[in-house]
Amino acid sequence: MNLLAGIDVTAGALNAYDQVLSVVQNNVANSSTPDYAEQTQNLVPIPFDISDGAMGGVQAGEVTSAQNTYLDQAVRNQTVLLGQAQQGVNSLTALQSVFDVTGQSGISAALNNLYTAFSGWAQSPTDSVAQQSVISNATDVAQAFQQTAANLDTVAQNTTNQIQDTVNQVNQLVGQLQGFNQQIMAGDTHDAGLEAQVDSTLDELSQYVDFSALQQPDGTYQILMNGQTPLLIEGQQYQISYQPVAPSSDAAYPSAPPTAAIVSSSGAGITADTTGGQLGALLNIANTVLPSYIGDGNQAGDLNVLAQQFADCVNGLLTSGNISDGDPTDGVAATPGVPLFTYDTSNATNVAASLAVSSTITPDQLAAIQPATDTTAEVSNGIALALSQLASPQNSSQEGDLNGASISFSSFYGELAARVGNDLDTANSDLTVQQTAVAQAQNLRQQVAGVNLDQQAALLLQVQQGYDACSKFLSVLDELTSDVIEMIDPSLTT
Amino acid sequence: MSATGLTGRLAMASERMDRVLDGLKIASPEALDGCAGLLELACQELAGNFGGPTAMAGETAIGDVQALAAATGLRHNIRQARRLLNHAYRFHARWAQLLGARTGGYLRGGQAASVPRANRLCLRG
Repeated sequence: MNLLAGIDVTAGALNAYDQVLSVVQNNVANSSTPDYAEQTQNLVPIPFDISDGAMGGVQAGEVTSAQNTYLDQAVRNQTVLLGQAQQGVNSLTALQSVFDVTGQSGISAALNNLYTAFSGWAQSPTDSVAQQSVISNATDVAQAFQQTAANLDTVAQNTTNQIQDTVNQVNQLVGQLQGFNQQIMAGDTHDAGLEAQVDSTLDELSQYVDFSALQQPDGTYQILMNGQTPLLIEGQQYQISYQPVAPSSDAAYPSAPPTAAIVSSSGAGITADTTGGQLGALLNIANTVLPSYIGDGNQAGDLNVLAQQFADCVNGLLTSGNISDGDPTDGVAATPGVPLFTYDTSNATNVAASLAVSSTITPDQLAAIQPATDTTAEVSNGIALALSQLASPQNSSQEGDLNGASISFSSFYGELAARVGNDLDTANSDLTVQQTAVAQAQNLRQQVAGVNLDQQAALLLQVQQGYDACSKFLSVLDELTSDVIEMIDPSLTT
Repeated sequence: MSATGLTGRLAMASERMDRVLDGLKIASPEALDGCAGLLELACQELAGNFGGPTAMAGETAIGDVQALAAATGLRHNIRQARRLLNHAYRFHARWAQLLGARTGGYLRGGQAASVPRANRLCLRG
């Protein structure tokens, strides 16, 4: 080795170690920066071969971030699910407050009071006070349906606003990332502070939507929503937008409320793919949960179905009866009953909101008399009795039809309220699991980051053993607990 | 076994499940080992030491609301634990797959190669 070559090698090594110190200094300076990933300087050996003059030594290699893309993505995947669960709980809590299940107020209480009024009227069919009580309580029922429909409309409007806000938030965060990409493209590479800002922004974005962030060879980040819709490529941002979509004119219910759609910058619909994060949860509420109550292009909505079936049942009974007897000897015909309730017959998704007591009916027009048939005699309070039996139906003509099952109107309403309650229970459970899952993913990231391949392989073997053991015991415990539950209450099956 | 006894055992098992969930949050190999031990104890408490669940069939626990609530809560925690355990395992398995693909490429069937382990040579003179 000649003297100059030796000096070169020494100088190269000093230069390399200088860069190592620089990286260490950077780590210390950024130690309190949120999301900062400690960096290491690789020292790359230079070939040593006397025959062709290669002098060996070391030189500084690429700065490698210990914060692996995979590890970050694993944490973000759980954060997406956490955002989704959190939003699900928030939205369903708001929805649950619309349905009173205590029986003290709302539709449930109004129905019970009307049944009581029918019962009183059945005992004194010609009593004007009893008749007025029926009209008054029927008005309360109609108002309770209107109020519930209005409250659901408010929830729907709030959901729409939240979708718009979330879309704006996504576009704003991607705009920030676009700025970081432009800095990187301008040569600001390997800046740990900038990387920390990028990570922090990506973490925030993961609350709202599901996406993958791929770092390109030039250091910029490519963001794909739902793994396929471009949001950011190099210095170009692609904004998403929200659009309300009214049912088509040939839909089964063309006047139904609109559904929510998310559209990519190219105009393509990406609603179906958008299931994760807060946006995914909001779309589920707007396009699946709420329409099951208030309707959409394909369904009338169960609240409207209940309102219509109840009104039709009461009206059907009243119009089958007579207000007063006729007198065949004098040639006076009986006076047939008139409907109690009215509603918007042109729009099945507007029945609950438009349900009202007929403005033309007076208390003395309530038809209590069940006319005689070929096989039965006239019953002076037959219709009033049949109406009072709606509380405890004696046959299917006094019941509602929920998805093909005959059910009392009170139970029908109870099912609607229970559906929200069950959904909220599931959402709360998901939220608890996801909160732990995010903490778990963060712990796992710390455990794996910086572990060498040897340790990594050993770690997987250890985890496999622990997983197998835990999995086996969990299965046994689950089975035992299910057996215990079945023993305590045999009616419960798992 | 009285209903109170069953409720007590379910409560004890639930307490262990809470510790299992704490362990799964960490999900290190040591934590998983600890979880397996706790789960084994919970299984024994619920069945082994008391002659199996069928022995409870004729007990006064039937229809006991408190025992039912405790058992339902326990089952809920068991299912949460299962989800967390699966998360942790998938995390390591996918990470190993990625490392395998990056270090050893893909095998003929398209699956990632396993993570290579360094061979060490020991020389004695």
